[in-house]
Amino acid sequence: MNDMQRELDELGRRLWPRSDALRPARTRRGASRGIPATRGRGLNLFAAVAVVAVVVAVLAVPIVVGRFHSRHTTSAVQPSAVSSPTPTSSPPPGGPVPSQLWGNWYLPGAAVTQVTEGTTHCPSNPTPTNCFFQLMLGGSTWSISYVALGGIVVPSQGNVAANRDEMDFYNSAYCDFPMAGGIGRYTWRLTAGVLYFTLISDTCSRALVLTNRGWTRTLVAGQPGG
Amino acid sequence: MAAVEESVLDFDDFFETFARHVAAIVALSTGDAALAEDATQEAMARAYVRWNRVSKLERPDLWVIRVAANIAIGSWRRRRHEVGLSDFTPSVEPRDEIRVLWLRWAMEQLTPEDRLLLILRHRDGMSIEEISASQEKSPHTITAYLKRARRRLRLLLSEGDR
Repeated sequence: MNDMQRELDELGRRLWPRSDALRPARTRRGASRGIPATRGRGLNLFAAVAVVAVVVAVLAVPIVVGRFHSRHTTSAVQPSAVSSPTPTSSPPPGGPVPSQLWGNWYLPGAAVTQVTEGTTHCPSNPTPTNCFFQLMLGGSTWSISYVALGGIVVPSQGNVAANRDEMDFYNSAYCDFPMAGGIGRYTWRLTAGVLYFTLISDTCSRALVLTNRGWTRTLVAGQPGG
Repeated sequence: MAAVEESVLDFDDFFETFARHVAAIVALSTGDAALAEDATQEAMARAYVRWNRVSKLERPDLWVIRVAANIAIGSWRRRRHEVGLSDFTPSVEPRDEIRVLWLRWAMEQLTPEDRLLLILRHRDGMSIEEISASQEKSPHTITAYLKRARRRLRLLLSEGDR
């Protein structure tokens, strides 16, 4: 985060304390008649909730963790060594995510297959376009979406704060510590266009996905991180 | 080699993350916060209509910045012609928050286009090619604009030293 990014963030907050002042009426929540909240598959609300529940459960079930770790003994994710996040009522220190990291990042298909193995959501022959994870990073928000046969879901989302090479994820309703109760701490590095996270501490199952492999800007078979 | 076909970036998430940042960049470029607000609203509305396509871009935020800046700078130019102002005179009195940053970054005497390019170049450390792609202008044009902006900056700074 350089000075200009910081100053622009501050300017935006000062001029528009409520971002809704910038929102066109036709894009307000609930006003999107004809445009589904989740795009591309036409999921209805009940199906989305059901898929979210299943995906979250799958990510959290120890048997999946065990299977994942039995296949990736060199993975940085080692729950037994992970310390619990300290409950806190305030956000972690730090500022917005560096702007070069903003936007979409994808976890290649091969990694998705391993993480979601045992579910019925990925096709039998998953490809980069029919089964993948997407990480969206904004200035202070993040979300991880999961795309598979059942549709598109956002199993995890919340806020993020960056402090040099550390990125802290918090306020996730789908983790054990809703709101600011728990913080997932990671270091990040960007190497040859691939974004890598290394776990510092996090008991949330997002660690499985975040640290699985490198995240890339486009989802292409055979690319670094895949 | 298959690129991603599905869009999963939610518009509301995108809006919450980037709206103020887009508006701040446009406000800083034109000096007009109200104009930046209108232009950001319009650009976000256009992005919403085309969200299936825009969300698949590597940097959807840059698309919205370009659209908002084009709207705002076009409007700024029309207003300037109507009122008969010079290239550098703001058509409205900039808010203090904007003027402070103009002074800090020596942007006050630059044109809105020059300010926008300098912001894009220095905010993200974007390369000429990346700015060129995001602004849909040739790298040659972007290079020329940036040189002009830096030349003006040097001139202004040297005048300030006298």
